[in-house]
Amino acid sequence: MLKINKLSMGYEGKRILDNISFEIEKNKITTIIGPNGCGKSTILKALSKAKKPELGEILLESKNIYKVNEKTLAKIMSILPQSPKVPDDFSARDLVGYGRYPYMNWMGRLTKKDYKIIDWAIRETKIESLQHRQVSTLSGGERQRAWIAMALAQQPKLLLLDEPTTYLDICHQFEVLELVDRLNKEMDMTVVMVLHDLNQAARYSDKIIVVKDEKIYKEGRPEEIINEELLEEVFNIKVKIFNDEDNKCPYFLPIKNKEGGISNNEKKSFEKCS
Amino acid sequence: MSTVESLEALKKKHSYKITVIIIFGLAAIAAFLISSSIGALKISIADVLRAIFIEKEGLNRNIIWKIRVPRTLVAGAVGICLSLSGGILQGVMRNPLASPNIIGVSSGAGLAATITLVLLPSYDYLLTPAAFIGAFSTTLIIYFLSWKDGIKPLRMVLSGIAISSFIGAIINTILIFFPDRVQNTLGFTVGSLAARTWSHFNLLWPYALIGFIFTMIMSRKLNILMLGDEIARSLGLKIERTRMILIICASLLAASAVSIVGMLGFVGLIVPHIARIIIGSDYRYLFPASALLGASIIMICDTIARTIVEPIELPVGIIMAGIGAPFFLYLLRGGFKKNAKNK
Repeated sequence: MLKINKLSMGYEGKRILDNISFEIEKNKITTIIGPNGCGKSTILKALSKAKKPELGEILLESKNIYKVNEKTLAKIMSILPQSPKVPDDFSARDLVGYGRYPYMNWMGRLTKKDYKIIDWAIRETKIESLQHRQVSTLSGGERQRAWIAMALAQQPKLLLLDEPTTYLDICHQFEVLELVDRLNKEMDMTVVMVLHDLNQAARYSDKIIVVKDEKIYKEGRPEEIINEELLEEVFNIKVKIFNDEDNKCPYFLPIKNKEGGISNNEKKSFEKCS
Repeated sequence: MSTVESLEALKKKHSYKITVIIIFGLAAIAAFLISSSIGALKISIADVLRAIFIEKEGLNRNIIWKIRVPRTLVAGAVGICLSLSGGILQGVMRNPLASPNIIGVSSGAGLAATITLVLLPSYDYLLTPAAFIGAFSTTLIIYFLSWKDGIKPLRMVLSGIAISSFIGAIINTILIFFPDRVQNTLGFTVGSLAARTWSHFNLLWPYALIGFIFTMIMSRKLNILMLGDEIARSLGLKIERTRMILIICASLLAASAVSIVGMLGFVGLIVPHIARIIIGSDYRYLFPASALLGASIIMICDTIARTIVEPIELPVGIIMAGIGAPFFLYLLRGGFKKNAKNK
């Protein structure tokens, strides 16, 4: 569905991504993980056209996204940033209505069909009872669902989520991820997310892409790539891997390092400092 | 909740906002009539109406039709222009403090207008285009000065203030060297409506009308811009182009007002805020509400300005600042935390 081809980007001369290529498969959930500052968000910025790649191209169904008409692209792909803003007095329903923008003519009137889709998006995200409340009065989890409802009203085939669970408590994190999972399973929505929680990534993803040091470190199905070596190499933690029989995915718990709680890599960097 | 129910709730909200706009419209008409009736010679509102619609000559007709009506219409049009300009800038900059004055649009228009008055005093009709070019280029300079990975609101306001005072210095220098070329300098620097007639109104309304129509067409796009660049982009809005068009709009509106009445302050800042508190931040309603409210406020302020210390006439800008400055302080004291948090 989405093909990233030899992408290189950076900020003020500093390389963040160096010649990376990967593919996003249709109807799958793909999660991008990696340590802070590895370039995960930069990848999403490139995909959302917020930052133009220095080299390389991004092909959506074999068309360069920078050459597709903005509104046409908005009907295929929707992107939710980390903590989007909204004026205080906009209701959740107003917000969902804006999801219909790419379908509007210059008069900007909502048709019966638009209202039906807005209602549908509100039902799917279970915010019926909240729809007339101001978005600013909603809890973090409710707000995230309202934003996802807006993205749904765009009727996209591809949904990009930048850390959709950040700032949410565990119950709401779970709620949002279950919703994303349902959108994928029931509506065949292709999803690309950036997640911090690796156990959540392992549980909800069909494919994980690990980014480290400007490169794709590894990619594959969670059970193929989540292992002790990867977590030690990429995230600098020692872990023990278990198998979640119910959800058929790996999970891990960090373990204390025998030599006093810090990993070998970190110890090395300490020694360098002193 | 069913579709029917939610549609009803929507209609209720819509009709509330339409009612507010109609009330503002009636307020504007009332302000127009009051402003026409009060003056050195008190004329009753019934006589005002008779003078406008029925009489073809006579003392009342002369006073009302030749002096008060055009002046009041200029006041109204200026109110519309400056309020819309301020509303646009507050949205585009996502900053509750943005206004044609603080952002430097007014001073840019003022400089260009001053230069035109000094160099080409006989070409009246060049005034508005020149003021427009001045306003627009100042906006662009400030825009690019504050650009670094996107617009930082604080940087924009600060560079606006710096550029404004710099241009203010140039204007004052010109005014010192050519005092005779620019009549009523004080009126120009604070904004005055004294002796404004039909010729001024005819110069002003085409710009105001074009600006108003454009603003209404752009209102939905501005709403989407309020959701942040990332969301706006995801919804398929051409952000940079939309922003540019809106800034051109705001400059045009401010420039046409400044070229006629001088650098009238505070209207563009406070009117959109008051309107937003009453009607909400949906620009489809906010624009017409601010336009009508702005028109009413300037008409009333001008009435006060020319009658409060009769027979001396104060520039309307002094009355406006007298009301505007305390309100601005109220906003700074935290009033805008409630109303403009997410900008």
